[in-house]
Amino acid sequence: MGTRITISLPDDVAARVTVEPNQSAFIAALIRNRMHTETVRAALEGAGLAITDNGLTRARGLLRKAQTPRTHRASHAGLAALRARHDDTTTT
Amino acid sequence: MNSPTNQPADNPANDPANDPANDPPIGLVLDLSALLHYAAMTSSVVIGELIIETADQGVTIAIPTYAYVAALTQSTGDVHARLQLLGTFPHVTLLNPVNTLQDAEDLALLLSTVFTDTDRGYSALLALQHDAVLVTATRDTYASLDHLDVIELDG
Repeated sequence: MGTRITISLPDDVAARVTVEPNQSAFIAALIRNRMHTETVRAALEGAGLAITDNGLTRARGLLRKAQTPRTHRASHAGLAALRARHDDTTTT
Repeated sequence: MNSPTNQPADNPANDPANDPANDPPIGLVLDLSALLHYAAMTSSVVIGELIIETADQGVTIAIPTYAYVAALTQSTGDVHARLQLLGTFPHVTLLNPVNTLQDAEDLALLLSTVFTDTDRGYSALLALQHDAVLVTATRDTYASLDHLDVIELDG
């Protein structure tokens, strides 16, 4: 059981939420994820790391840049390339 | 007391929450150099922010057990405490990439042809196994590996 609350959402956000079969679970999962992120940030700051909004933007960009090419790859392409190198070595 | 044969509803293996296929994807792998940069706070490239962003995106950071133990061994005081903190985050997991004979063959190949130190072999293998992005302070040492995405920390 939980607490029943009434909230107001922008129309576009509400339209997205209403397509979910379990809207409460959908919203709860998003908020839990946000809570987790906030907990991690607070813990890191408490441990002495300086977290900045500019740094978060830069980190987001680094992740996006690093991950984008992977969408064009076959799964485990790196392992396949590694094993091919082994095959080349042992057959020459 | 469980019956000798588990009914499906009683068998944890049948719980979707225990199905590895439902685990969040591994987005980043940290090698030993990245761990030490994070813990010593010597990197100017946003390692803390990377940890936060991966949490926000719902992906997991994997650390090779070998590298984590090595980092703990080399650290004391606040540096050691920050490594311990990292291990407590729910989206951070320790993994051993060598669990099968094929894994052992892959690691042996990395250590005999690419790397001179064990840590990088474990870290690269883990990243390749999961098509994850490797975070390191020594990008050049991974340069000969095809299909390996790397984020380099600078000091």
